[in-house]
Amino acid sequence: MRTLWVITVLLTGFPMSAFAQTEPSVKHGPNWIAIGMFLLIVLVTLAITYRSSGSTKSKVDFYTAGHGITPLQNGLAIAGDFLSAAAFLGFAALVYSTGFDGLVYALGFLTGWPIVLFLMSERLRNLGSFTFADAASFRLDRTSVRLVAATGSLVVVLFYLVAQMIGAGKLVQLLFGVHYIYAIACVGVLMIVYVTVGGMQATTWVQITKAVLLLAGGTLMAF
Amino acid sequence: MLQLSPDRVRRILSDPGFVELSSARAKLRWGLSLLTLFAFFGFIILISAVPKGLGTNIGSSNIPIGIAIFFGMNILVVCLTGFYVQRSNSRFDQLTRDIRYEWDR
Repeated sequence: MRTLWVITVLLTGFPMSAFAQTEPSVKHGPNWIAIGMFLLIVLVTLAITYRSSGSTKSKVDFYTAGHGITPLQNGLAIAGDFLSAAAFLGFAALVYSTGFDGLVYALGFLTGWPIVLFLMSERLRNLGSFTFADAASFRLDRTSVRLVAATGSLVVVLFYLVAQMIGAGKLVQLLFGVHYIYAIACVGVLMIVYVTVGGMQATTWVQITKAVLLLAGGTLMAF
Repeated sequence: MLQLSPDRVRRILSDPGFVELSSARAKLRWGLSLLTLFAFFGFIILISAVPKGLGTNIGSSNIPIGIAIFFGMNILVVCLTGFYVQRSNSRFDQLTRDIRYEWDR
């Protein structure tokens, strides 16, 4: 059990060691199973995005997929959200390198959600608004609330999304052997296409697909 | 949309059903939030205070106490979420419906 755990941490922690370099430190032949799985995920999710782009017309469609998502679908989508590069690579590496201190970050991810649920969900529902800023600016000064919300989002994006992008770019670089800059550009364009074209409907289905594939793939690798 | 006169607003605000709804909701909201925060920051304090103690294994198994607490916290948070959702979807939605019905007449 323990050796399996150490091996998993080492394996998932590996791309982080290539973090600072632009060339992969270990040269090896392309991993065809991984490339196949990656392409399959991209193709399936792009097809979903294309299909749902027609049905996203109003604000309700864009933010909540027209209220057409069931709790199970939404749960899978959030699971997909959390099975990210940060969870797989970052968390594993953090716990590997700093021990229990790393666990705080893993738990912080989870603990933030219920508090937002407890404190905000009622207000969002009562007001029929979609975002935290909408609900807060109902009572407080509109401009300042939006400024705070925008600043918060951008700071989080800077520290979270950029790290995710580097992780994704590194993975694509390792898998396909393309240059790091092209890898990051491809991943970025893919992300933007998913959200702007498909809205919440496509994003949700992309995440559901990702969650199911990751859970299946993880189970497959465990045997 | 129904126009509310200041007098009507005052009367709704002092309606026992409404007072019960809003105070019970506030209690649940803040109670669960504080519980979650206490558990989270308590875990951080434990990590900084007794890292060695958390590293010891439970009994003869290979699972350290810290990891067990970590998984326990996950379960706790999931249970709290379930409790909140169950509570607001059954009790509070019913209370809201009752008050609406009463004042819409």
